[in-house]
Amino acid sequence: MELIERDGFLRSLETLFESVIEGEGHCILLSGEAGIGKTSLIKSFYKEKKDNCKIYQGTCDALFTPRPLAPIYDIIWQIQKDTNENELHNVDKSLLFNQLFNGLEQQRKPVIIIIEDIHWADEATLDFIKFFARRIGRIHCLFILSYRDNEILDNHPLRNVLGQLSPDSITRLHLQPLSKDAVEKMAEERGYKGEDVFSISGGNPFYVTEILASYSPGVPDNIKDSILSVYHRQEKGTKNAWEICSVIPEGLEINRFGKIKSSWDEGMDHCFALQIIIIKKNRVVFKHELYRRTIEGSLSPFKRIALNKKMLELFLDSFEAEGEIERIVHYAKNANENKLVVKYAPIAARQAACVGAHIEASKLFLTAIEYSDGNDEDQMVEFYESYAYECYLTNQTKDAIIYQGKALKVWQKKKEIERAGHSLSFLSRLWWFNGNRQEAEKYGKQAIEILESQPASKAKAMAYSNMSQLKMLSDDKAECVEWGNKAIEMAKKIKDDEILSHAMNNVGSILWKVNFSDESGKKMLFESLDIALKNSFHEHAARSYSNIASIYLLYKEYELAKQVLEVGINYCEERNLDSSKNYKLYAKARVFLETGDWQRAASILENLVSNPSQVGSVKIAALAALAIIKIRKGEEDALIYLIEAKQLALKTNEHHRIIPVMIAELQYEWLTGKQRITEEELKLSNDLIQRVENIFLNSEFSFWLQKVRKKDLRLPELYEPYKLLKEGKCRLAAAYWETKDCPFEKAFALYAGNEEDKKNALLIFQQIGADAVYEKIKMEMRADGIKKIPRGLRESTKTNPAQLTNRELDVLHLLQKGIQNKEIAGTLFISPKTADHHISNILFKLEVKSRAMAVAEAVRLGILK
Amino acid sequence: MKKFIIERKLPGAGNMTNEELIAISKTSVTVITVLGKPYKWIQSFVTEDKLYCIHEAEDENAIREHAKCGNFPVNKIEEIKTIIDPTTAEREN
Repeated sequence: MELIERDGFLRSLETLFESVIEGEGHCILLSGEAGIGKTSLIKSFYKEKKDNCKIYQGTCDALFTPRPLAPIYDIIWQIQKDTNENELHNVDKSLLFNQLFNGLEQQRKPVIIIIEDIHWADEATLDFIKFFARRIGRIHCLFILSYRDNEILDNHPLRNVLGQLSPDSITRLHLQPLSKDAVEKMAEERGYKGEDVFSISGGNPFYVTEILASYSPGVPDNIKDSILSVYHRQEKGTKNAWEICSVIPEGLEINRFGKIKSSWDEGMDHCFALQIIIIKKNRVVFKHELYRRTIEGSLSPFKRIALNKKMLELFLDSFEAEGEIERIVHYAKNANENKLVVKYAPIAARQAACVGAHIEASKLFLTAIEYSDGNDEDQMVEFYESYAYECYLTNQTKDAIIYQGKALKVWQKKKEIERAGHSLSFLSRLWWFNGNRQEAEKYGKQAIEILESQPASKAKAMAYSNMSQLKMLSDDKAECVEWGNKAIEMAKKIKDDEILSHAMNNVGSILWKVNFSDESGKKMLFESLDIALKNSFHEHAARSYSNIASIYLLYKEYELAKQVLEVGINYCEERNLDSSKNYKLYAKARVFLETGDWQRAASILENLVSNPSQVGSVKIAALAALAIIKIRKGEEDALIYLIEAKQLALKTNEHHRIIPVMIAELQYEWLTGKQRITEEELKLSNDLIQRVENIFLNSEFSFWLQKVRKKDLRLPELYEPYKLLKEGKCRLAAAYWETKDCPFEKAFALYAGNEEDKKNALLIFQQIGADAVYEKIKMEMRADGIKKIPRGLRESTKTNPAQLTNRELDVLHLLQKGIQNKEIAGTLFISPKTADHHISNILFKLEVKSRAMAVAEAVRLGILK
Repeated sequence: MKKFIIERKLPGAGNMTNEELIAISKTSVTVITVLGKPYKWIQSFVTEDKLYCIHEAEDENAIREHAKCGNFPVNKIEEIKTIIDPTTAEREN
């Protein structure tokens, strides 16, 4: 089959394949609407390669919930056939992935792995894609993924996955519809009016081909009619065959067709002859899904139900042997067989949950709930709780709250105190996740109250620990320790290590946070990490890493924070703990922000903020941090981020959310001269500061309040450098910031000094890219009559004569080592485009034409050694 | 008696032939006669994938019973509190 207007894409595929043979593996993301020719392109690409490389394919099915990891097992089966390896089939997902990967690493020939229609992929398959794509550089493999970009809505998990893949190892190819010229040419060859064909098909190759396949006399009014006209003209037998095939989205194995008794036997041969139904991988399917959808959509509802029922019977009969639960659920749903749905959906849900396909698990539990008649309360409450838990794991917090609430009502009615207590604790946690501390505390208290008179139990210990966690999060040391100790005592008594680890985390964190030199607090926190790691309590270990890192961050021990974050982020990645990972990424960004590497900080923050299903607490913090960077750089959209950050922060009513935003607001006011903070907000900030002990934030806030609004805040204690500033010892303050590695604050301290100090401050602001601050300071210095404020100062021109930025200097150093663009980008954590941008700037500033000459010139000028 | 609006999900509902429409109407009417409680089917609106039905009954349970007997899907039942139309604008308060 000849492909039209796809040469460019084929060439890209060829080029990438060449680079894979020689060097590193690569991923290709092929997107486009249905019928645009993704499959045709892929087929055309690999048809000549069969001899010199291995090709493995997996497809995703359009079932209600697909069988988790089906395409991966498919690929493994194909590889097994080739390499005769031992049983790769293993329930433990990460072991499975690793074995598959290692198997491929050992292959001599280059490998092409194709997974199509990943918009239908289940969560476990998406995990595999993430896992594989991250390591693609290590094997000679071209990983081709295709999907329909117009069928993934905002919340689709695929969007999340795509956003997390590193841009270096991925090429995105988006297939466009055919041009008007191409369509007209094709049409005229068949004697049709090109314009008409183009306007109806929109250039979609599938539709164009269908219209032109002389199926209909003349061009139909719409595409549906074109397909249906063929259908209607067939004999009854053929029609029946098409009808039954139209309700089987995953296709039916050819050897099972005999079991569906119908009068279509004669019709099947004719179907195949027409080539509208084909055999793909042993299954009978329509040649294109659009065909199937159109015919299915034309069926009367009763016919549809009857056909689905037929299929359902087939799979029920073979359930003992084959156990095709996902198919049973799919057909039972479509056949309105409520009881069967309620019977099988939970089984499928638990299986999905086992392999980590939690999105599918939640969908299935919800289905079981929706199809129940609600009379069996014992069954319903179990469904409610299972669904709520899966929702919690998949960030569907609102639904989790609703359904756990329903479960709670049932437990209260049945006077099941333990379970009611557990529900209340869980609801408390969910509300906190949702960003509502008041509700979280309310439920937390209720949990404790209702379990008051109960003997020691898991639920009771957890209720205490949950409360201690809430108190830790709101910086209430006394209550956190009180509840925490109660939890620790009970956990030890009932020998529950999980709750012990959880409670020790809370108490240790608050003690160490309030007093950095409190060894007992630190020890407790690290011990809780230990227990969690030993027992594989993944979530608790992840939380411990986060708390340790955030305390190091708070006390500005940046190196230690970075180390813990690296280990923690890795830990989360390997176990798919996305929201915990995101918090740590935020902390990492904060480290970069405070040590003056704003480019790295901004790139992490922007990623976090652009995730539509981001956890509330991470989103607020990331927005505030991003706002600060943008304000200081004078970027135009700074205000948008600031407004959103403030709006969300005020809702939480929490000190550590609101004060950073207020500090950002004060900096904005200073830089622009526009007042934004209201009297009410000032009073609120004041109250929070009086109530919460956080010497760092409070001192910083009071510094800016004094600078911008000339108001004095009474604080019991000031953070050292701010104290020094107040005493007029700005050089000492600057030295302090220097030891901590905080260039921005150091510069501000210097700015309070003499003319020489001010000029140094200016240089630092320029170096870290605080452009708006630089401009403002320059203006103030000019107003003070300070002369000679050049872009580069005499001392620095020796070391930076061409006025290269920090980043450009980094790139230049790597160029000197002979490193290629792609690696430069990788080493500096920037995109290849950004790296290219820096290099062209360097060439321009040094006035040379090549990279080699740039290095030579830099050495001559003394910029490089 | 209360008035209810019922949502019934039926993919392909818009494709029903005349015979099929007559058949389901007959079923509904027949079930009402044997139901043995006060019940009234007022009107139903057929869209591409759903039916929206207006019924009068004493409570939700009666609605579900009618659906069970007639083998009609029920996805949502809501009580109609009041009905308004352009003439409501001219009412005296």
